Amino acid sequence: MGNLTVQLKIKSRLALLRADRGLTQQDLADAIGVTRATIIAIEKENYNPSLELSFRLARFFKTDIHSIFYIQEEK
Amino acid sequence: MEKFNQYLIKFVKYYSPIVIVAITMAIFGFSSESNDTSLMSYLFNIAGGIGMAWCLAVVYLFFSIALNEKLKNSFVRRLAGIRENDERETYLTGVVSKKTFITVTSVLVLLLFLSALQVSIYRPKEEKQTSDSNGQIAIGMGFPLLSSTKTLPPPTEQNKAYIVNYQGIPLTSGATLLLVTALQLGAFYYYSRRENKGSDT
Repeated sequence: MGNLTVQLKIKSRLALLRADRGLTQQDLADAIGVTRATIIAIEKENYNPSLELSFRLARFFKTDIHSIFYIQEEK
Repeated sequence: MEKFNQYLIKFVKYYSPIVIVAITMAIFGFSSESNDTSLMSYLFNIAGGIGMAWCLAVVYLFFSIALNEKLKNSFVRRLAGIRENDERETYLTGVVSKKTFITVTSVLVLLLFLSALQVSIYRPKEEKQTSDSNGQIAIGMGFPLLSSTKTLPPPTEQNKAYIVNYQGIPLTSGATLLLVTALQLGAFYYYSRRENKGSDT
């Protein structure tokens, strides 16, 4: 079992997924019921969305949460 | 009750120019005599009546803002620019509120200390001066609960030439409240802008 106390950084592939589908930040924000600023913050990895919002994003992109967010160990 | 409050808010908002005109007229010395039947006097009397009702409405609204949950919420949200359109904004409001609370509380503790502190640096008058000492420093703390309470003798004693005589914050209670309110709102705006920088394009 790895070190569980290590600092983890949540990374996001949201910008890639959104671009793949040709959506604007505003389109995505309207579709999942948040503000455009929240989409920007998630894409810039300045904000970690709640589990509920993560599931909503996953459902919107018809994928699982791990395809949108992944973790990276901080050194 | 909500409708009544909304009506009063509109009354205060839309009738304020009339009140300002009436106050301006009064400042520039216009007053209506009881036997004066000119149009200006008539208008001034109407404006005065509206002004009286306006003042009563403002007093009622300020009490309502302090006591009515809904009114308090909408007023303070608008005043502080609180936005909670989604979970990130709600989260940021919490973060910003915590930072504001810490900042304002630390300043309040400092103000409390400064209001209780009393420092006097003075030089005794010639006849009272002993040996080769030049001046004296007196440091004390006073915390009167009522504004009429006097804890120290008046600072202008005949036998002392004061260099520094600090007897608590020299601001009035109104100015202090204004300062604290401005600080609280200013801190909230500042931290809001800083925390929202991460979501700029």
